[in-house]
Amino acid sequence: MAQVASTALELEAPSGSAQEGVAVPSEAGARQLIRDLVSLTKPRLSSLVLFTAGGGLWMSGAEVSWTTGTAAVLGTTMVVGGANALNCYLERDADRLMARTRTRPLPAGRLQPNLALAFGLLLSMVSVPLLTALTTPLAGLLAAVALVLYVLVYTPMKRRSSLSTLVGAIPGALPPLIGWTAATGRLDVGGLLLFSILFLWQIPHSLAIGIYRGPEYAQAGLKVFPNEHGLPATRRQAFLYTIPLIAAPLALIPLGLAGWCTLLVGGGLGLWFLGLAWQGLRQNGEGRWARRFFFASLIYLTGLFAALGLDGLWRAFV
Amino acid sequence: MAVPPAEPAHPLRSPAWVAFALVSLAVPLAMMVPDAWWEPPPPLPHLARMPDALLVDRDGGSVSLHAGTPVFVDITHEPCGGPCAARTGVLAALAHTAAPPAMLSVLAAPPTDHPAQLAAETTDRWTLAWPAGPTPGDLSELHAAWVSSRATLPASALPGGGVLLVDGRGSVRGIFPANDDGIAAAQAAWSHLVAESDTSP
Repeated sequence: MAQVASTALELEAPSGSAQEGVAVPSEAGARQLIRDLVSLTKPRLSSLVLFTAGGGLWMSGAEVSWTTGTAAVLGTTMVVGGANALNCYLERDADRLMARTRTRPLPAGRLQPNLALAFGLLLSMVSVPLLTALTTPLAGLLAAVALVLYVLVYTPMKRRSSLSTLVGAIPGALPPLIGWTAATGRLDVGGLLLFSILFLWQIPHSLAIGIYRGPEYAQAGLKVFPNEHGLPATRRQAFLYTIPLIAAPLALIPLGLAGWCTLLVGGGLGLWFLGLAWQGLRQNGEGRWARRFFFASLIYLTGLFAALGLDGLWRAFV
Repeated sequence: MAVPPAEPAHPLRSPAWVAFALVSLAVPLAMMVPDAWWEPPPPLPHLARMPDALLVDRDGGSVSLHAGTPVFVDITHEPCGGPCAARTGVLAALAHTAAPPAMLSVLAAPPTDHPAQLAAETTDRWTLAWPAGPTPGDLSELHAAWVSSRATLPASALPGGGVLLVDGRGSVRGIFPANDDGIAAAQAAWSHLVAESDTSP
């Protein structure tokens, strides 16, 4: 079925790419092929989903079977992997133009586009029914919405407007909500707060990347906020989005979904992160600040989720 | 003069991607549709039979439960307060729906200020049978059948006693509690029974 879909979808591929249709080199063995297929899913990003979807599932507090829990985490990871693979397929031309991405399997010519397309479709078409059947239809629907938004709205929108960052943040923030609804079958305030935390987090995170990778994006024809609106406006946006970002996790505390750890660690890291955003408003060392801010966003999110996890353990065992 | 090469269309222009989106969304959406949408509801059961008692309404016309018309039936054999009024409330609610069903409220020996009677008189869609019409034997038999029909369900399931839905052949096809859920269930059962009557030979 994947082959049929692959044939139907492989229409009007952009020309001018000498590597289109290049067969997998004979010396590249099955192991290399598997490595390339896995890399299409952007495994670092997909593995993050294990924690966010699993975190949402756990924080819902609902009792779920091992089957449901495994299907929720695995299905969410697969749908994200499928969306990433399809994104790689659709953006292979742009990826050739950026140093960061030109070594990926498709722009490097190690993988046939049709194979990447079939792989992405297969993952997507398996994961949504898997989530739907083994968890809840609502979780499956959210996964399908994330898939369609990411592949069919965000991906083409990147070439047209920097607003694509906001659109792309929606599917990026859905995994914890998918995990939550996989356990409960409904949209609750707690799940929506987790969604909003990840949504808000992605904006300053993406703006920072947009600052220090702006020239590459421009070369590839992808629109990012710093290139469209300038660096001062970008730093201002980063600061403004950071304010609700550090407030959102604290709203979990009165709901009983977070406690002292989140208040201390999340609040402390949040203030530090906000301080960096404030520094950005006052400094001109664009690239250096942006990289620091980018890494700070990673530290903030990791620390926040660790604190939420510790609070969860406290609730569960004490 | 060389013609500049046409800009290649973006791969997402293919309508196959629309199909991809629709299929992706359709799977969970289909699972969210209630089962009732996919499967026709089972036929209403035959719970009991009502006797073919001859009733006479307030205008002197005759009424029969075997006359071919489905009807909701409530019988007050003896004066009673809350439960009877509650059942009457169900009939009153049904009488004020967009397509009110046929209803029969039988008052065997009502005082003039009986709550069921007073409620019944607030609407002109009721067919009332008065003690002057049927013989006492008819009413007792009818009342006994009504009570035995209700007895098929536990009393706790029928707060207020329950209103009967009788098809055009005198068969009790449903019993509905005197509350909001009962009103909704009665409306659904009525629609079902009318559809069933339309398709049956």
